[in-house]
Amino acid sequence: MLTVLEVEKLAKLAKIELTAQEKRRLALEMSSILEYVKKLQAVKTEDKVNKEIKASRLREDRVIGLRINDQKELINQAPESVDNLIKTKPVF
Amino acid sequence: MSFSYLTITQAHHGLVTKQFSCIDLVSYYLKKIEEQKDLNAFITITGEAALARAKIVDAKIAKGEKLGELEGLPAAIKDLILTKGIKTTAASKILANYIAPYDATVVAKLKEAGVIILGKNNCDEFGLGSSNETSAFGPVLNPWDKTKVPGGSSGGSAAAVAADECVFALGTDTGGSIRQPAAFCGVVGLKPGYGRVSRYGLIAMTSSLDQAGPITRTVEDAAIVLRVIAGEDANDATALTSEPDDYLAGLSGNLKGLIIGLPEEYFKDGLDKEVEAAIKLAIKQLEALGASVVKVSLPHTALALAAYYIIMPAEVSSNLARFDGIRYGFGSALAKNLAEVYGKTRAEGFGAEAKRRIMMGAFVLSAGYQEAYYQQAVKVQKLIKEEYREVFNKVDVLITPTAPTPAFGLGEKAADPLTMYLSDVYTVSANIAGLCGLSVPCGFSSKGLPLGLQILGPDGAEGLILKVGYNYQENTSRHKQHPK
Repeated sequence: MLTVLEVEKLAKLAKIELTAQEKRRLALEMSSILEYVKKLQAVKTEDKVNKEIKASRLREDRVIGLRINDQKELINQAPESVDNLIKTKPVF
Repeated sequence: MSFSYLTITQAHHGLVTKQFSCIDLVSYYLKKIEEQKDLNAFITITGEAALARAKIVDAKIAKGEKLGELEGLPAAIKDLILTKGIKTTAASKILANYIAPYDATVVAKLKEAGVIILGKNNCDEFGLGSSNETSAFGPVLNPWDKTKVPGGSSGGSAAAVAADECVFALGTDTGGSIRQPAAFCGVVGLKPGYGRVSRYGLIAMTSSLDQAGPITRTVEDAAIVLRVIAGEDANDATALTSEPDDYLAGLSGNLKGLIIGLPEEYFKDGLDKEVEAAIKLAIKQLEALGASVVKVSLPHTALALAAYYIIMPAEVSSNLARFDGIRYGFGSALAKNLAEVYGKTRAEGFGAEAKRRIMMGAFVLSAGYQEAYYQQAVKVQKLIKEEYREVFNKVDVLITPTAPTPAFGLGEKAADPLTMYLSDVYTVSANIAGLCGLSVPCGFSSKGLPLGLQILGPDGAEGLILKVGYNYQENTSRHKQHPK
């Protein structure tokens, strides 16, 4: 059973502010879902995790420039921007 | 010539033989969308741009120039797929005013083929749902019965095709989100094998499972669309580099010698009796066409849903971390510091299901739980893949119901998320195991609701499942019935 305290810790990790009601509801809902998926733990599997990844192709690691207009378009999408820079609250 | 429920071939024929103009065709669908706006199948309608494009196509026709098979045909795109210059919301408040700066590869390919985009289909928020009830823009109604859901997450796309609001639509499928709404709405839905269609420009939900695919009136239409959208893409490192088959060419071969597997685990409790009866009838019809049927067992079937509901939220929590209120989309006006920019933006911008899945993902990936949950789910996924590989050594395709019941009522499964998740039981295996899957209409419930048949094939077998579906449709007429 997930406690509200555990839900609060997860909300910090997920960076979502939850109301008290949401925390209580999520504790119940997530417990129910986790109860369902718990059946996987009884399955005998190999020791190593070996996630199959199809060979993927990556391009050469070099800077590909953006045209000025595209750059402006992207920066304008930010909720706040100043002088062609995206504005954020201070980190500290 | 009537505009009603035109297939791609019929619409193309109508244009080239000048039975109607492209402007008339586009206007017809815009009118249908307006008349049926209570269905709420669209979030954005790009009527003016569509009519402007239609004018260009008509000029081409007037000059006697050759028209491509999809040229001038009006289609709708799920709002989880980026369309340059057009609002792309993912049906979420957090992207409610986001205008896509580029086209998804699938959209670029359709546009290159001359397709005219009518608008963006409503869907579950970020593709998270099986009923189109989690959209921030209101639920979509099922055109066959407006008290019922159209399915999800591509509910708007399926409803639009079923309600004759476009010639075809594009959806995305991560756990059944093309196939299940196709079944609920009585239309055809195809999930290609992973990597067959580029994911560039799809708003990422579960990057290791997401695939875009066509929702159409007929299997032939699905084959035509797949042929256009499939293929390699330098912008998507997971897109297959192998040349796609000519899906249209292989359709009409007969089914003699085809071995169909019926997985017994799909025909147990929880399956509606009417659905079961419709599938059994369809099997008899396929046998009459030359196929033979073998009972098979997939003991790990029950685990696929559990594995999905661990792997999927894990990736969702990663993919939705980019919505931070800083670079694009909604940013909370109430935030007083950086932590609140994140916390309040995501609190205000995301709906309940999105939050639930992000939180689930955070849990299964967190220290102390990752091994027991996420890593174990990945190991079980490997077992499931092997199980399907072995089965496909014995049979060519598998046939199952697409969904355990016909479309359920709006609000019916809202109280308990787990009940909603269980409706994905027949569709998730295809995503988890990397198969391709096609849903075709196969009958109606006693209440007149469509029922869907699912044809599953191994990775790379899109041509084969399309051929089975095509043969089935040529010999039945389920897909020719339409909502009143």
